[in-house]
Amino acid sequence: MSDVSTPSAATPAAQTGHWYSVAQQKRLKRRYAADRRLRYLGLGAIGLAIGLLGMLIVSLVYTGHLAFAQTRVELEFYVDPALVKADDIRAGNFRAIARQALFTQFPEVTSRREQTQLAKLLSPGAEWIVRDYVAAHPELIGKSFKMLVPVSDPYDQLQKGLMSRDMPESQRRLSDQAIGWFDKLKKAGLVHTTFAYELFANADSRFPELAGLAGAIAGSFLTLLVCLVLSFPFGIAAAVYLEEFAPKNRLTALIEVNINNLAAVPSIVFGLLGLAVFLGFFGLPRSAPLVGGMVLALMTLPTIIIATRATLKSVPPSIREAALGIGASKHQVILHHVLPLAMPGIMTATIIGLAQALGETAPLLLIGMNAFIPSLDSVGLLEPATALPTQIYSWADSPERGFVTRTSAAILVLLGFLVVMNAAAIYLRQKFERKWS
Amino acid sequence: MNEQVHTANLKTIAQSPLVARGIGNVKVRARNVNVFYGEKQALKNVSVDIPARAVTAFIGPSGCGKSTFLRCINRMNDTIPGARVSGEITIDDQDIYDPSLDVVQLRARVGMVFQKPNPFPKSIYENVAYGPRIHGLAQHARSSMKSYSPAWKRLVF
Repeated sequence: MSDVSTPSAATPAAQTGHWYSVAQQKRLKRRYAADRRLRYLGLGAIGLAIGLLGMLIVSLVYTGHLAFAQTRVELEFYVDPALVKADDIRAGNFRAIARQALFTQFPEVTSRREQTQLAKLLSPGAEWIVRDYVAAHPELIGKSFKMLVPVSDPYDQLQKGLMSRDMPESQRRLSDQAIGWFDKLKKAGLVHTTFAYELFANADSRFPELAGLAGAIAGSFLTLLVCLVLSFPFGIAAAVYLEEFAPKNRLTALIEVNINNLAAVPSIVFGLLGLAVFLGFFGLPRSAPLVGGMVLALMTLPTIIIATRATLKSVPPSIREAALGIGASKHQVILHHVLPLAMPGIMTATIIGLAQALGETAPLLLIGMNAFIPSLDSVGLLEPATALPTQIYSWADSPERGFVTRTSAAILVLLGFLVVMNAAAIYLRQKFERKWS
Repeated sequence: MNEQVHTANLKTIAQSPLVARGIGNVKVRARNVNVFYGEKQALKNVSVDIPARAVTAFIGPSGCGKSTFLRCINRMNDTIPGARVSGEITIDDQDIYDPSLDVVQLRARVGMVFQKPNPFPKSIYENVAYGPRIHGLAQHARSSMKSYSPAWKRLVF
């Protein structure tokens, strides 16, 4: 201890206990340096994580942003009454109507071979779009109307600048003549680039310009619904039993250890379980959202159980004592007081668990939830389906150039869903969390 | 301070003015109560008579076992794992540690107010109505509350 007032003491610098001595200053410097190093280490780690995440997002946006736009051509379609009968519009020859609309722009193209080549400018889906429009507006038979229809994938790539015009003709997908036709349409102002609603409204397709995520989103939604319905009640009930009612003996400890370990099991093992037991032994339909949901529920159960137990433990004992003190029985205490207070934490954990389940690919692949779903009519719990992550997997495998951008776009859509779900979880937690002071 | 002296003082108080006024009968009787939390003994051989219609205060330094004894009376120590109570405690000559006694009913009869306020995180009405409601005493919520006492009217609003 240093004396504050010792007039006869030596100069302050010589006393090692004094605040401003040389030795003290050296110690201070060392401590500050250590603090700084720790802070920079933390900042560096965060910077590295954000940097990597930023690189991922930037590369995804760079490759994928083009998929959100679709090149379309504005044509005038004459609904020839000879080709379309009013009593059965959908059976009409809309292919001819679409081709005719295109050929009127190119009166110089006469040979059959050239006409076939020219017809490939339009997407194969163009005739179905026209057909659906006329079926909804039967009064148009015999009249003309203007509409935007998508172009096929090679021209879409050309317009987006992904196909180089400088390559020699033999290496390109489009001949010089084809590019010339497209440029003529552009000069006439008939080429427009608009938002690619097909990406969200259409189901899967062989043709990249028509392929959409609607089937995958529906499949993922049904799968997550089954997962929620199965894992939420069982998870909470198991956690309440383990926390409140289970006797503290060896068996209970064994169960707890096993549940903790299950949370760490690789997801593909659950896929094998689904394959062997649900598909093989029980004979459930392959690649159905029901089976996918059951497999994902098995994966999410340990997460929900562990999080619910932690939340139940965090409810202060004073609430339980107050309820017990006025004569509530044990199950009344849990149902009326403890569970309602623990609900925000449980819901947060459930949403986070579901967000994890949304992105799981391996178990869904093993149970075959990778079906090619070209139409939304066949969506159901027991019908073959696909999910967002497995759709990304199939598109990434596809050789068509148009699927490259679409894969990145699909990943961005999946990330968007995950961000929304996690943000909802965080918002719920902030809103309902109580600070027990 | 040993418990025998405590008990002797209490018995003396219970017998004279309260017995003389006819309100000295014993409501809660404790005989040789020992309470253990695991290996640690918290109460050693406590015997005390608590008279009816009187306020009895337990005074002592912190940690001497006051709350422990109080919690024995409505069996709140049952909720603490590892707590063990031996001896006899009777209310109106009924042994409350009798295995056939419903502890929930006991706690409905023997109320407890805690040192730190711990209301339920609900409305005041819910806090007050919860007890009667779970024991089937509140058939038509607000009206039956009002019939018990006019003071409830102020609380309900």
